[in-house]
Amino acid sequence: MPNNSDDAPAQAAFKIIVAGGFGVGKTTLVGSVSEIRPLTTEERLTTAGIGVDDLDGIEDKTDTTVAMDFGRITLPEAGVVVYLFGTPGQDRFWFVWDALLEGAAGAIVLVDTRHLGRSFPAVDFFENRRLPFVVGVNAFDGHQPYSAEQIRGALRMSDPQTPIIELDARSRTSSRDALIALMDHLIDRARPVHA
Amino acid sequence: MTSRGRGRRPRLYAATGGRSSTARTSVLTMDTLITAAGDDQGLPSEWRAVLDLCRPPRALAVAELAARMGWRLTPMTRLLGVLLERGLIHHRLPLSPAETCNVVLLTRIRECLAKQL
Repeated sequence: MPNNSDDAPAQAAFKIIVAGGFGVGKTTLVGSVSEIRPLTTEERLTTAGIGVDDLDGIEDKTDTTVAMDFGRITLPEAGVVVYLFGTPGQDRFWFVWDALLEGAAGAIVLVDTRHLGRSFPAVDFFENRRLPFVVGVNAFDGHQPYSAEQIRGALRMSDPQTPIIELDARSRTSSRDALIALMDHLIDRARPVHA
Repeated sequence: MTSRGRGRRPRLYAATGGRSSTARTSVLTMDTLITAAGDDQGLPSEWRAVLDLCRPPRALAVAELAARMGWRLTPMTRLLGVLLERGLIHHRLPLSPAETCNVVLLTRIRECLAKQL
């Protein structure tokens, strides 16, 4: 019954996922652009055999509570409210959280070049799900030593069109530019002739 | 993390008046926007607390209502399913896949982000 109410809210949500490994600055980025202080909501997931050590004979199915940080940006002139959802730090849990991905327009995958491997699962996951994303290299001290091509290789990114940008998640303008880079990427992909 | 939510997470039974699920619950994704509707006289205080958070013209996502009440998503979604059935809320679904691939709309969102942030 996918109907809206007759007197439905004037705006609709536009969902963007902010992913990346633990401690990479997801909540910082959300907070930099959000009109509200980031909020946290929780869900209980049943994870069968995920990240659970095999202990002989013990049922390897477990309930886990995942917490998700999010913020919002209301854009009245566009008739949308952008909701930015930061994935929980433990990748192995949010991968089973289908509702988090459902309806998402795109994603920003944050990368810390000191811990590149931590963001590989997110890249791999979005490529498999065909969710468009940009990679945002969070340059904590203003610079980072790798070229875009080195990062593309290290993250084993298969789509050469996926943008890689540098950003400082603490900066509002820099985080805004990352959002705009994602929008540009979504617009490129939505155009009928897509090179 | 909302501290006021700690320790007052409702039992689902109490929050939904004993109804654990409704057919309409599945409509309400975490990013569906909700706004209060109608008269809430005589409703349980927790229901009214939820409705007070989204009085028009305010509309909040299901996830935001859950966060502000300090509840998990599932019990909030189920309560909202009951409120929807009783005509106590209006809802607006998130943009559809067709809309999120609409160049005109995407361009407008981009322009508004650039202007507003």
